[in-house]
Amino acid sequence: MSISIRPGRPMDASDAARAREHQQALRAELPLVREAAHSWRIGLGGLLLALVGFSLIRGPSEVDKVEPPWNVVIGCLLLVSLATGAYGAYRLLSAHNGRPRTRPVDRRTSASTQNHLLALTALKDLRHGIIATFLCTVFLVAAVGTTWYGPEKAKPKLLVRTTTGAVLCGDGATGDGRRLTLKTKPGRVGVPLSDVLVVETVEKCP
Amino acid sequence: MSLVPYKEIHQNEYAEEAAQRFTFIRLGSGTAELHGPCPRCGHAIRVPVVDGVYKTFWPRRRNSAGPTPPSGNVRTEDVICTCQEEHPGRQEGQFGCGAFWSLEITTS
Repeated sequence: MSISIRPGRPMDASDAARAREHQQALRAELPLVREAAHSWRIGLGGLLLALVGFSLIRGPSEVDKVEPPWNVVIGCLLLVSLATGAYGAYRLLSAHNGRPRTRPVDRRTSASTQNHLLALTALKDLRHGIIATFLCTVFLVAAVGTTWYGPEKAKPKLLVRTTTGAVLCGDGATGDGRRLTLKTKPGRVGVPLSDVLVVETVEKCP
Repeated sequence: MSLVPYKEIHQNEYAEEAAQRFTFIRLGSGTAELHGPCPRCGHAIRVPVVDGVYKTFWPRRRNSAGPTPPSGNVRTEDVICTCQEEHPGRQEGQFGCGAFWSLEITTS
């Protein structure tokens, strides 16, 4: 790549003032980015704390009430939410405090330029941190929504075998001393108790 | 070298001399530097040449107050002396010796 430098346009005092402001903006850039990262960190941290603090998901007992495979989906959503939250926190902390590592000594470039490059890195961290934290919130809300509104796990069913060889399966069993009535898929079915051979509970009707 | 007093001044010769003696160093991410001696005070200076400067809370880079680079590979950079040396008469918040000039940088 070839680079050529030639004299530019004539300048006046206002151009010089703009150039000076530009230099001053460069010198103030890194503290501004760090300050912005601090504000975002506090704001997003508060948002997540509020969400988690509401105890939206009380633990495995609540997740277990959801029909498979939705309980697995909730587990995955929570895991991804945790991962994106941790990543977002790391990027936001890096944006505010800098990356946790030393930088090689650079005698070639000016302090302003080095700070500008650091500001660019911090800005990138800030952008990624914000996106990751919002994603964490989205996954968390999705997990909570699935827990609250997902299909409930089916209750155990009653399986009745009769002496005639018939098999009835359903729930909501009622009896009047002589007949056992079951709520089955086709409808309510009654069986004389004297014909009942076996009654057992099953997870699912065959 | 005797210290020249601080004075905001522009002369065509500054740009001509700087064009001959300055080198342009690319540093990546829309960042480069001009290295060379100030045509007025003679002190070595390193002037950042950047595409944008962060100014607002919104997390994206905004263009600085500097001139917008023209399309293609030519950009005009307004340069002021940014030397760290003392110059009599310089007020707080000012820097360099006060000299300013403009350069046209072409990359191909």
